[in-house]
Amino acid sequence: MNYARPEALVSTDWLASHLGDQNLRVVDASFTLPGVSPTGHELYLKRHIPGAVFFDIDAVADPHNPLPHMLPDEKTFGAMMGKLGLGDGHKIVVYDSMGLASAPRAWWSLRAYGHKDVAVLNGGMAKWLAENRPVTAELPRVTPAKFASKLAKTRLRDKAQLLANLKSQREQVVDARSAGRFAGTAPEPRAGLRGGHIPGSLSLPSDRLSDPKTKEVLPAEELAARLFAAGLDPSKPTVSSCGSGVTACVIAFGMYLIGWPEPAIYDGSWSEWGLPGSTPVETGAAR
Amino acid sequence: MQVRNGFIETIGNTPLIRLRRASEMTGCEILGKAEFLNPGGSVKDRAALYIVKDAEERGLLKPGGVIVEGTAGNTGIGLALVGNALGYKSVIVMPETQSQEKKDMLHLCGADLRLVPAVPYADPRNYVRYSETLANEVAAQSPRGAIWANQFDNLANRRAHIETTGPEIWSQTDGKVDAFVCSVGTGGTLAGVAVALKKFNPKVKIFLADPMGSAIYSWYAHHELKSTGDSITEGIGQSRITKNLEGAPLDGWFQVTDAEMLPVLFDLVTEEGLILGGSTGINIIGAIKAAKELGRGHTIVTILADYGTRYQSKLFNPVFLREKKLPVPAWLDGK
Repeated sequence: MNYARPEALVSTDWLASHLGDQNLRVVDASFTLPGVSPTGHELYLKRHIPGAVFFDIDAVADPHNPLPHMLPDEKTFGAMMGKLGLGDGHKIVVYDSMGLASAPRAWWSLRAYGHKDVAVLNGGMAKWLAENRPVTAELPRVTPAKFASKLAKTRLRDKAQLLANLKSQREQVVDARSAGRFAGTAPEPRAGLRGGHIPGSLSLPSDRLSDPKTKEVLPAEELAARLFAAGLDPSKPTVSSCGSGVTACVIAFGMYLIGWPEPAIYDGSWSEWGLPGSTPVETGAAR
Repeated sequence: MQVRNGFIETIGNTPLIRLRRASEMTGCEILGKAEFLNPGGSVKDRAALYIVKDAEERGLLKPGGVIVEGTAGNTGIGLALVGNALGYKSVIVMPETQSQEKKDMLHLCGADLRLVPAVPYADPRNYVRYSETLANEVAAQSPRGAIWANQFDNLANRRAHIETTGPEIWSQTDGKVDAFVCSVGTGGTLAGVAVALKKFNPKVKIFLADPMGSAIYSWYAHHELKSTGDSITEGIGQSRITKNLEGAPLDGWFQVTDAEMLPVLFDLVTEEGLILGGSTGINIIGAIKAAKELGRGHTIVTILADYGTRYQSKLFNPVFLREKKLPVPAWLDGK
């Protein structure tokens, strides 16, 4: 069965034969959790797909918000993308070092600010390397571009909205963190956070949406089965959450690919909800 | 030559259409029975034909006789056109709240259209109740006979689907159908197809999809006839268990909101080129919910009941939808 929105995905074959196309821009959005070395940026400096620029998830952020990488305002985002040479009229392909982990955050951000033509490289750097395709440490020469930045706020949810939703139950909430973190039995990588999950939320660890060997996103039928198994209902509006709004976008990407309505992203995610305070927390495995 | 003989023989044998997006979303084969391609434009042509044939066989109608019915519209259109083709007049009683498109269509069909206020079944002015009274009056004055079609409780309606729709679905899927889902107004389609498919294979699952404002879901889920909310869909939903629905072999039931079904209708237009009505939206969401229950790899059939053009002034009208705080079709908005 085909993906409903195949344009959101490109294969390594396709990318290899289109590298150097005038309107193509390749983006490395590798990202690692705090304290993990090498960092995404270090990985990029060591080797990246020729011509790729680095989308720094931690830097594409609102400098005035203490939470990790909350989306910046339109002007800031537009300026940052323009500086990376990403702009109107470009076909943008994003990838990450793991395969399908942080690239969807860049994919989602670019689209949230209005860029339509963005795709994720299927299998990412993992597959690219496994196929012995060319990599380089050489930094690309970037021609600044103009990125018309317009943020669709409906794609975002904040804490107040999630709190209201506890009562209204209007939107189903899915959590992309590992089963242990969801249950509250595994430690949070960010210090000081409580363990557990938003009451009533569903658990779908983001790594379940890709093939553990090839790192490619699962076939359409398999994706649908995983979403259903998590208890998600394609006819209900969804909010996707995770540790800090990165892997939540993996679920958003999977849903989009097979034609489900796009979920909104809870940008604050567990980094906000899990802070010591009065937000209600549920522990234990998914129901 | 491959020729169908007029309106009557053109009823039924509709294609089964694979719904691409719904299938890709669920990993199932979601198939829609294209009832909007019946010559009167809806699934109701089947019931109309069976009701009229049944009356003929029982000697209740003679050429020039009159068919009287209370209807949300489509059955009236079916009866009027079947009547035209077979030589009967029609008197149609309809709640005044139904879409202008359907009223215009009934005038066009040559039906004698009587509009009544939309009041509950308990009120004698209710369109179904009033149509029965009217049928008796007409019968008393009509030498050629007059029938009250009584689609809700006349089992000829259900029989149309036991004898035609169900077997068509079985044969068109080569017996691979795993589940059938649809909404109910009279209950004839759901119960009839259910009975037929379960005869072929008792393992076929039957699901009911109910719009808000209908009491049917709560009847099956909580054993009480209680309705909450409302819906802009027409011709489906019910406040009682009709004779046609009674005893339908059901395996599950879902409640579907207008906010859930409208985006499906909009995407069908822009992505698949199919312009379909509100009940079809409820049916497709029902099929998607059935897929969630059954898991991937199943073949699930539902009904594409009628064209969306019959409700253009509501379903595809951003002003109307916005007033109701419902999703609007982006491509029609603000241009």
